[in-house]
Amino acid sequence: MEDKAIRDQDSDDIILEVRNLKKYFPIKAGVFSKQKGEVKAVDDISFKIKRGSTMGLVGESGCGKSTTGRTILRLIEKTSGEVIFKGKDVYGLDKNELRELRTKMQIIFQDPYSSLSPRLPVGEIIGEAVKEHGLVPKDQYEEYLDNIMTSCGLQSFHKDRYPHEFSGGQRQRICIARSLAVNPEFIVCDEPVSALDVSIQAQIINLLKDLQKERNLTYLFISHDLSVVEHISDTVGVMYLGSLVEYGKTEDIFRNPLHPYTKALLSAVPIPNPDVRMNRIILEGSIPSPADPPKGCKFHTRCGHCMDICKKEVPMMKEVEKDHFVACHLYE
Amino acid sequence: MRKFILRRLAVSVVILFFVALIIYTIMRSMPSSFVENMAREKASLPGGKSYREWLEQLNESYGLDKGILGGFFHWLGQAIRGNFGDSWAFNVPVTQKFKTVIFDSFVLGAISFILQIIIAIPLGIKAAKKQYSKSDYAISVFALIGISLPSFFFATILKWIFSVKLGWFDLFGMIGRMHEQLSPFGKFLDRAHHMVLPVVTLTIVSIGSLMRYTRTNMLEVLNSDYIRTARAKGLAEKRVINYHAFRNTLIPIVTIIGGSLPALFGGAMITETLFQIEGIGYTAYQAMTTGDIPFSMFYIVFMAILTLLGNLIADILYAVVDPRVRVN
Repeated sequence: MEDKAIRDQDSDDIILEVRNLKKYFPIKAGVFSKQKGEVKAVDDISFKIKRGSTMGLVGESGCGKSTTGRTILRLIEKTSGEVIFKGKDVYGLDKNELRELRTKMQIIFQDPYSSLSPRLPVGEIIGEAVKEHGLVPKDQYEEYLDNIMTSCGLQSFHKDRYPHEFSGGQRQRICIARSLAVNPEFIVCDEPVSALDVSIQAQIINLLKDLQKERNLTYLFISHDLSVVEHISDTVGVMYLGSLVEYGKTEDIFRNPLHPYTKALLSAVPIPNPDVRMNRIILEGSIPSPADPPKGCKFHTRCGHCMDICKKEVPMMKEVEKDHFVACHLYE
Repeated sequence: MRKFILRRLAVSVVILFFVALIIYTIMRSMPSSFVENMAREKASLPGGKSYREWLEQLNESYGLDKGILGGFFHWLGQAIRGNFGDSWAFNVPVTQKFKTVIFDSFVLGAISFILQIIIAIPLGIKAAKKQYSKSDYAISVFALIGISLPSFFFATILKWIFSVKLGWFDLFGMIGRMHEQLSPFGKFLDRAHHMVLPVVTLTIVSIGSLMRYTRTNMLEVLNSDYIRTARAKGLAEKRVINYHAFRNTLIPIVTIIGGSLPALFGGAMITETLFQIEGIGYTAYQAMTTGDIPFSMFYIVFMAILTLLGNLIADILYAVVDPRVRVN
């Protein structure tokens, strides 16, 4: 009873909750496209994000970070689990309700080159959804568009230009302006800076931070760049092969990593000081196929601390310190 | 843009010159010529001159006594002034013969071209939208049948079903037996009625490739990131398909449509022959088999001009539909 009361009290603050989310892609083969198996891209993930905060999601390529982001937004359909956004199940909505919800949940894609239609002028790209959803009265539309563009570091005369006339950083600004134009509360940033130059990366990250402060936005920040995630996130989740292995506050994760995989990841971050000897933990082998993940703990094939139990039993997520969760048999 | 068009036109003139030269050389080098056949015929008549004498005389009067290059430049000099000479096979000026046969071909080509576009493009989009569904397979099979069927075979089947068995249409010709007695509107209906089978043949046979092309391009566009962006914006699926996806699919389709220009005027040799329509394709076929150099030259140069123009139009349309190619 008491437990439930606490949760309800909390839930005002929690904008997004993901419960046991799974996304399996079928593998089809043969003449009659029989299903031969499934790729477990997202395999039983749960987490919560507080309003106004940023959660970083890290992991190596192909571990299901982007699929997680897209399944939350229902850009691809889930296999099972729940996504609760502002107290409503995203997967319980019909087509029209979902379209409406799109204005509240947005996404910034990784590649600013391919995610903008080459046939539309920038003003149209940014403002189209505003018009479609009727968010602003017609006479204020131009002004609204100008405001959004300036706040993202674009000029209003850029409206009539086409995406190919812009640089990568400017294009990503267009993408950000596009997603902000519908006045969302929650944005999935799907590796928004990994296609950009390092010098531009900082600009875009700072822009995202400023906009967050201004508009009280909530981000799910997907990246494989740990230093970027450390800079922007309040909480961090570490993914390996479709599952969350560690989850906690950014300081806790970076100062005191618990899971062997997190330790290995962090040891790979370069330190800008040639005199410091880096103690890199080198992982053996390559990432196993998500179509046929190892039994027990998925990481046991590459883990330096592998025990017998790791090969048999899947470790459960446990709160080892306050607000610091880890799924590893070492801490049981 | 103007500079680009002018440069393309200048290049086109050079290409045309060589196309004409090559065709003329081939026509002149054929093993049997119009003049030889005529001389043989005349020599076989009783009491006339010998074959050799006829040949010499005819060669001179048809201008074949000059060498290939000499003959070509003579033809070119006349052609530039708009004089394409008299057709040997039809005994009338080439341009006059052309005027009498182009109309039917153009109407036939234009109708089937329009039908082809309004059938193939929506079908292609539908197939792409539901990739690997039953309707996708049905459309693809239909398209493949269209591509694989030779027009003479398909036209024969149509004739057998609709003319012989059902008796709905005449077997061939552009006008019915009672055409002259009909009112102007009746004449129009009579012509339209005779057009049905040839138009169906041409349309079905050509639909397949355009449909497959639309499907492939649409699929590529539908899988692109900016379509995902459009969906993420919360746009209605209709708008995503018709506005975002189709606009980008147009870019490659434009080339195919530009390339269809010669087909529009060039006539359909096989279909016209099968239905005995006095169109440009049928006439050109006759001219080539009899060795009628003036008419063949005119036809091929005409086709070459259309092809070059089609490509130029496609390039200009590219700039219209794709902002990235706009030349400053």
